[in-house]
Amino acid sequence: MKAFLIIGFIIFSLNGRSQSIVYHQDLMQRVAENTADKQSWLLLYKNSLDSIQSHRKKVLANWSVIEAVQQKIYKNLTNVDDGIKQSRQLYYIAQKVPKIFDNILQASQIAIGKPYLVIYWNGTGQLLIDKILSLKNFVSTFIMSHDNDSLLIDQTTRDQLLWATYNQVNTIYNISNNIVYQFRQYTLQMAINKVVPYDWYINLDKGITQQILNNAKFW
Amino acid sequence: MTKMKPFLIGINFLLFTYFLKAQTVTPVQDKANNGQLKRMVFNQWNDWQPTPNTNWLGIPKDPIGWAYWRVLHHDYWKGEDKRPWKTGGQFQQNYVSLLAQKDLDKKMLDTTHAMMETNLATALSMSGGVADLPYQLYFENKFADLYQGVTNYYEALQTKYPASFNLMMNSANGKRYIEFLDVEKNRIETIHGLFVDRGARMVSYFKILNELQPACEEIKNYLHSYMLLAQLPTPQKINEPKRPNISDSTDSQIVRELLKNWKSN
Repeated sequence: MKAFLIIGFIIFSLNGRSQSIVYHQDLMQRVAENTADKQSWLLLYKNSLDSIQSHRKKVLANWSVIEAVQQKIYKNLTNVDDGIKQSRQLYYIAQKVPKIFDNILQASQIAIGKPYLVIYWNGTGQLLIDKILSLKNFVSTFIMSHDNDSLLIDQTTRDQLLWATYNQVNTIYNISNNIVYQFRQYTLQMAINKVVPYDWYINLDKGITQQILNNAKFW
Repeated sequence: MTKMKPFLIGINFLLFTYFLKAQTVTPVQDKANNGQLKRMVFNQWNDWQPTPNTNWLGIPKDPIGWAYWRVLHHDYWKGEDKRPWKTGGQFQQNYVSLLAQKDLDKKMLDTTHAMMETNLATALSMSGGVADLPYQLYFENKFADLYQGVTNYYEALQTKYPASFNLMMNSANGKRYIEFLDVEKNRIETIHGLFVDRGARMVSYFKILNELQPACEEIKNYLHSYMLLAQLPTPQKINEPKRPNISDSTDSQIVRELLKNWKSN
């Protein structure tokens, strides 16, 4: 029994563990100093990073503005402005072009009734049709060009071109009107008169009369 | 006795499971550790420094330090200094590079700011409408005066001589002038609203002005002539003109009359 008791105490003494806390006296101060130093550096680092971030945000904002302006300028050069698209010049051109075709058609109908006019119609009518088609094409593909990266045209240039085209269309319109008027007035006699140079005789008579008057002055 | 034995065995098992939990606090002084910790702070080198150096005879200055570094921690002593927080260490290198980046970014910011201002100024100068200063300062009044002058003539003709006004409006020239004024007005408004270079806009204004000024004078004269025509008496009021007192019997008589008049003149 004693033996069990002794063994029990021996085992008990083996298992008896004391827990000890070991601390370093200077550790906390060192750690605090290190941390303070590290934190101050990190703060400087963070401040620099913050200012870089701030700079980059501002740079981005600046670039956004620059890009927006450049984009606007570029779009403005590649696209026709709505103001020009809805201009009165275009409205009048659109009104006059069909009238020009009508006039040319009318002139051709008159010319059919007066065969001696066909030669004139062939000379001018077809020319006017070609010209007006060319102008129409010029307006739609060049002046009114849209999203065309190969055509960078200033809006004032577009306006100038449209103005010039409008004036040309006006001229052609007046010519076509004039053709119809002339074709209506033009008679066979006038055509013959053109061919037969009877003007020469009139001029001759005028010359004789002038001579008589001149002689009379010396009487 | 037989009862005592299991009892003692039980007591032993109970004691076996018991752990002593007494706490003791032991302050320690680890000089090496302390020194190392201090050295980690760049500005404190004056702590315990077990120097591994030797004097001119090759004898260690500090045998303990010599043994500590050259023998015990030889690899650490001879190895590369990898402390990130040392002067010129990784952190400071990064920080210097960060400062350089910051400086560069500041320059980029200044550059982009200047570019942005230039672009904004360009956009503002290209903008039409209220931002079209030349128009506000000069052209608006100039165009308005021209149009007002013509409008006055139109109104005067319409008020005083409505019949002539209608006649004029239905004439080819009347329509042409109205169309011209309409187109030019629309052009001015369009150019005023365009997003274009200020110089190009001004050139366009001047071109229109150069076209408009003589045209307005022409239109005013045209309208004035209609007013003058309207002031003429009606055909009924005009007396039939007397026939000239020239004999029309023969050509020879006409010639004589002409010569007589010519001589007398």
